[in-house]
Amino acid sequence: MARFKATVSKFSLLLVLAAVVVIFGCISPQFLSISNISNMFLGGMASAFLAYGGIFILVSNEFDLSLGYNLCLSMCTAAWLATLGLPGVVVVLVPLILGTAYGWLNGLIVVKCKISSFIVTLAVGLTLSGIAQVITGGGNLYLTYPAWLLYVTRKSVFNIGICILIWLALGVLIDFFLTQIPVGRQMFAVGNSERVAYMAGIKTARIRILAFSLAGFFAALGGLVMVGQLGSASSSYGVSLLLPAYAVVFLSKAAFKPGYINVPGVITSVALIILGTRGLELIGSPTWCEYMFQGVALMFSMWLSARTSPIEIK
Amino acid sequence: MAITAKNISVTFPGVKALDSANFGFCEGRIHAVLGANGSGKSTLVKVLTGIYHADRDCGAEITIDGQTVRDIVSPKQAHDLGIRVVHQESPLIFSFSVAECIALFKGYPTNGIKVKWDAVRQYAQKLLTLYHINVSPETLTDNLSAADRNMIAMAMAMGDEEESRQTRILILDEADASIPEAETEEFLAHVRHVADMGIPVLMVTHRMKEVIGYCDDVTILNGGRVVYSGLKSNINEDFIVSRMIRQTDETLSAKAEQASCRITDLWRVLGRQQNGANERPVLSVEELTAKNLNGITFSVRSGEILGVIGNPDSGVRELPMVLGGDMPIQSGRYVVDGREMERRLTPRKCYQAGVNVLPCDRPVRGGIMSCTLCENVLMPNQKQFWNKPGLVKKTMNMSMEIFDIQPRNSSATLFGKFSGGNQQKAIMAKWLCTCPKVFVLDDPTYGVDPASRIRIFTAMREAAAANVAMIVFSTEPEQLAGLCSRVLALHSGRIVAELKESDGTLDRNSIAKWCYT
Repeated sequence: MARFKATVSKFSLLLVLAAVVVIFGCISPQFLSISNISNMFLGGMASAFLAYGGIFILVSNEFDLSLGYNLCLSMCTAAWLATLGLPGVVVVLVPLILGTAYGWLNGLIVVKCKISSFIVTLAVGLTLSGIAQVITGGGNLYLTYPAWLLYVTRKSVFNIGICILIWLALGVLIDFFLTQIPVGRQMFAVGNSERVAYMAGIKTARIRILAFSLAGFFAALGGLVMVGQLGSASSSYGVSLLLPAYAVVFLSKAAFKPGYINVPGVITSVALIILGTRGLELIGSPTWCEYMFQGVALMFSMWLSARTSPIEIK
Repeated sequence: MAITAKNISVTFPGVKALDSANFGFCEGRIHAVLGANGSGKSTLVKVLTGIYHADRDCGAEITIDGQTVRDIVSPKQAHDLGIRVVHQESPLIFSFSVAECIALFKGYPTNGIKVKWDAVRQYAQKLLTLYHINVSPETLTDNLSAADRNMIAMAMAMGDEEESRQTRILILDEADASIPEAETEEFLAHVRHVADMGIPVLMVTHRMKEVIGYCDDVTILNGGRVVYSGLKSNINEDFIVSRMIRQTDETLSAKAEQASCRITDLWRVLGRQQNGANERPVLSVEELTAKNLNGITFSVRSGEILGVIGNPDSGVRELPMVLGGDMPIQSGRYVVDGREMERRLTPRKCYQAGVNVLPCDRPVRGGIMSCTLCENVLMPNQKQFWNKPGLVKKTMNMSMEIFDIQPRNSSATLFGKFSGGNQQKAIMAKWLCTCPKVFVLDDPTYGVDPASRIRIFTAMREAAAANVAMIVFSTEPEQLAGLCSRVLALHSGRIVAELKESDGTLDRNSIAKWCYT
């Protein structure tokens, strides 16, 4: 019985997802067509990439408020470089490098100055937001090339969005990193008890800086996806994606490996949030339902994982 | 002798933590190092592990298997010399499996990129088998017993057969502190097993029973000096206790200079009614149970100074918190001034009933370091001082005078800038100026300089004379003999003895005995 319970809790998020699919599928059969699902996912991809960044932050038990601003600034940077007429490779690579650098800076300040990551990333984030406003001059910037970026972020192969496939492939890589590679395991150790990890001879400072840098990278990647899809950027786009992205990472603690942040859980949670909110839209629910759905899902899953996890959830 | 340390002196500003101490540890023997708090035992461990360093000019020599060094410069060198330590704090990550915790310390075996989980498991199994630890490598460390955790910590420090051959000494630095008494035997059998491998084991512990039952040699430290070193079989518990207690404590008998005003004057200024003398107990508990407390019954009268002692596992840590409403009561009665306290207590309710607690961990629960002295002292009763700068000034001046808080006129200084002694005096002022019925002091002299101690003892006597009931918990039990009229001894969460001045049982030796055993 206990074993049955454990199994149920492992797959509870999947069961909820299945329920959502079945319910909305019954209401509207075209809801479940592959192309419709793919389109719904494409709309949530920027946030989904951002959530990957959040994984590293929350695994190492930090918090990064700058990720949303980072994503926004990356959009603006890419669009700005495009308006300058620079080569496509530059337009894509420079925001990625800069985004990683902002994350690295966050980590460096947190580690060296021993200031809480909450404050440091708030400060860095506001600065980034300021830079974004300088670049855009308060208006919108438009991105018309590189064509391959627009293609990758918007188009599909076999009815499935290309960037969804990239997102899933990156998920496999991150999962491998976190579960199979020493550095990834050490990141978990640092997040659980920095002191014990330090006593074990782990270079905890490096691990924490690495976590912030990776988070910065994925935020910038999310920014590129978004600017590719929208074709424009302004200093207010994307900032509000931050908290929903973290919500998804927290949700993953309720799935597959209860109590632990895990990539399959993040992917399932992203699916649940996207399908759930779009499904509610489909049946004509007002916008506030969307937010409420996310909030209730997060509460419920935390309660569930607190009950079933072998470890204490903090 | 596998390891000898000669002429070790360590001086900190104002204190000699170790004073030309000599030690020798033999292969295959368990060597206990005993001493009261501040006697230098943790300093010794830190010198041997390269964290503290012996004074430059003391001629220190540490010889390990014939190799002599002047000083162990770093933890890394200590490790290279074959010194292995198990610290009091657990080296385990609570959400990891046993196998992975071991891998985290020893380095993950990889095939270049990926962790070889089979190798992780195998190595862990090898260690667990070698040290006869009966748990599965897959177990989450969160689910282990305290004894198992400590045995795994020990196994991790020692390593597999090959690594354990490099070990020259195993130091257990209060590693047994977190193990409940019922499980210690299992742990100590493992320690013996390590000793039987031909390794000297140095054990720093506060548990006398273990020393008597399992150790071969004993070194007793007192005030940084070695006062006994030799076979355990030659000595007994009484001898050990008599060597551990500080023979002189001039601070206790000394009387602080009479301050120009008294605590009773302060109460008058603040409009507090002094408690009347009363033969009825002002605080009493009956069959009180809580975490680590299994049925405590005692009472205290107004004006009495009651001492409570016991070893750290006896419940002396929990009792002050329970009395202050900071730890839940499971069952039993708790009566203050004739009124039964409710089951769901909070520190606020206790304060309102007239029970104030001076906690043992000053920086955490004692005072707010980033607030000013004035804010800290007036905190419990801010309402009274709202918009009355004159009263604030008068109260602060009187408190600083009564408790001799140095420097004067520093009421706007941040609390964190004061020395430990001045902080403690200020916390006493904070609670005593509200005129409590009962004042519970948890280790009031911890980390306090001698001059401040004298003032603290004087203030306690003064408050008692003004009919405040005092309950004192102390890790320096020698002080209680001169201060209290009655002392209760706790053991395993029960009161096992009552020492009274009136029937002649209240003396240093008997108090110390209950504290150290």
